[in-house]
Amino acid sequence: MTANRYDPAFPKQRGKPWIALGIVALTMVVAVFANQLVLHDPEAVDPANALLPPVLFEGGLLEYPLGTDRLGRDILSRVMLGTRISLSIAAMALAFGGIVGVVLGMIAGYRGGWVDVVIMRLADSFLAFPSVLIALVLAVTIGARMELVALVLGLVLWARFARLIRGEVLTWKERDFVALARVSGATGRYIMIRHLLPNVANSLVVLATLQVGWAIVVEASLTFLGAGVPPPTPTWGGMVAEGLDFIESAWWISLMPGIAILLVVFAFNVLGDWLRDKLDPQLRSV
Amino acid sequence: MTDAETPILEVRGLTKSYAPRTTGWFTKPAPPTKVVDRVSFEIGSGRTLALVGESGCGKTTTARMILQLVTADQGELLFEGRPLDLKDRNMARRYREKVQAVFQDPWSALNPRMRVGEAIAEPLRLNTSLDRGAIAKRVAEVLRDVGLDPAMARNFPHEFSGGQRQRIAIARAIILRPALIVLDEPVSALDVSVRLQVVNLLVEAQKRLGMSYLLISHDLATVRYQANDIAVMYRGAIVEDGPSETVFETPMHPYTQALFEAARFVQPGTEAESDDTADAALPTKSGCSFAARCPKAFARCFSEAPSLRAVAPKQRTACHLYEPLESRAETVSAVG
Ligand SMILES: Nc1ncnc2c1ncn2[C@@H]1O[C@H](COP(=O)(O)OP(=O)(O)OP(=O)(O)O)[C@@H](O)[C@H]1O
Ligand SMILES: [Mg+2]
Repeated sequence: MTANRYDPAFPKQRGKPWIALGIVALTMVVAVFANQLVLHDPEAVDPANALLPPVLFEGGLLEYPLGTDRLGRDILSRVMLGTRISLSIAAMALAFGGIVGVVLGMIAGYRGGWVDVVIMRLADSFLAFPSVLIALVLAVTIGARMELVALVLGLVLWARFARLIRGEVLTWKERDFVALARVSGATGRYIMIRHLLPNVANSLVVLATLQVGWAIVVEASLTFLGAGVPPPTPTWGGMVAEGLDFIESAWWISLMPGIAILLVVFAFNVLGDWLRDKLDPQLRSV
Repeated sequence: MTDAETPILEVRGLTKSYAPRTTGWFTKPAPPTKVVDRVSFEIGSGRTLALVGESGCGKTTTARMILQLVTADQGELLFEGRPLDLKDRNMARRYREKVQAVFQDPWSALNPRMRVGEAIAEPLRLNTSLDRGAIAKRVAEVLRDVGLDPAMARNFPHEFSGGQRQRIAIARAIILRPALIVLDEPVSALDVSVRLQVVNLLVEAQKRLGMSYLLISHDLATVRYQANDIAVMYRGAIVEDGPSETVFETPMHPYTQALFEAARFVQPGTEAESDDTADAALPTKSGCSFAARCPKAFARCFSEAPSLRAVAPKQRTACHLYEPLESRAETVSAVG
């Protein structure tokens, strides 16, 4: 009887992932204050200093710590601005996918029956959704735009959220406190908001954190393919693509944004794993 | 509003079938079995009706139909003398306000993310438009009523023991001063040491607030102590009912006799029916459902189902051993 009860007094013990937390915090600060923090206008062209290597390499200048690209634009400033773009897109996609997914997942799990069948079929088809292809088609037909990238990501994300939430709701709704609320006259909406949502909130935070990395990688890939955020906006995926032509001579153009992607994705995933163990040991499968 | 003679709740012919849970993937689904079969009883105002019977006989299902958590296949409820119609919004609201419940598992009854004060206040918030101050005052009152410190309203459920949680569940159930509380094994999940305290709390609350109880319990000693009336269920149907004293003094139905007999030989705190055969017994197509286990069964028991009929002024039993005392008009139809 006490086996499946939630006991916040005994979370699984593990040290805090300080490095990941540090990277995530730094990323957030850079994303918010990119404009104030950059040393150069990230779109300012300086042909005299084109293709400068990072400062520690021969020919590098302190003024351009991570080097410059073929137009002489400061790579550090562009990576910093790219942080904002990447995180904004991930945030928009997560907000859209999270809200739609939570609402539909709750309804599917709580109502059950044909409503559940319809919503989950829909979710399954969106999970099989060829996001890259759709993004390419949209980019060609409507034009590449930040909001479209977020939308395409959100269309996959909602289904992941819906699945998770539905599964959780299926177990929580069998608890007596839900039946007791109904006995006292609570509506389905009230039960979903007051009783079910707070109990799935932890899983929600964990899934969202783990999906940030996915969103960043897919967004970068789409931009790399030209189906994402159009130039001259500095984005990580776009910068990697631009640098490809110079990969032998000026490897830093592609490498620096690549490292940024790697670090941020790694940090969010480590943080998500840690949160999962800390908040919700039952959530091992996500 | 209602005179003392009108029962607070009358249950008429409640029936529920379930498709068996254990159906293999490739076998064709078995036909639904009747889990509750034309159950009728009434709960007098301010009285306690105990519903007893072995595990799986349909007590909880009956309770959940009364609470509108499970839709009945057939049957109706009369609340305060009027047929319950949930489409009538006023009536539905009154029913939600006047009928509350306490369940068996105190760990499941409280939302781990909700402060107990909020949980207790929930019926009040859903059914009245009191302001926060008034609600907090009521919560403090009922917490005191159930023997807890009102300051505990701010705590979360995991800070309480099972017995305390059940007190909280009771506080929540009485906050609207209901007319009826459905108690589905309210103490059987608790430590033996705190059971009596909770039983006494329930008895005392009933005395003070004058509400009726539908008490589902395995513990016949508690039933005898607490209940005014008793209904004995066997495999979905009521086989005997009447005033608790009468039934305990002179149990008529062989199943009731067996149940009481078994209870005399078990230690207090253990369940009376360890050899649970409710599901195992073969469904008898016709005849009495207890016939196969009945020591007094005779030919007629295997061919004809007995109906529930009066055997003493207020006692009814469904058994062929007893000829009806009164005219056929007294008979409550239970024959298919
Ligand atoms: N949702 C359901 N689906 C299928 N069968 C069910 C369902 N709910 C209950 N049953 C079956 O109905 C029968 C009666 O169950 P119920 O819970 O009403 O018994 P009970 O008298 O309360 O037993 P206990 O004393 O063990 O609580 C059991 O055989 C049970 O397996
Ligand atoms: Mg039960």
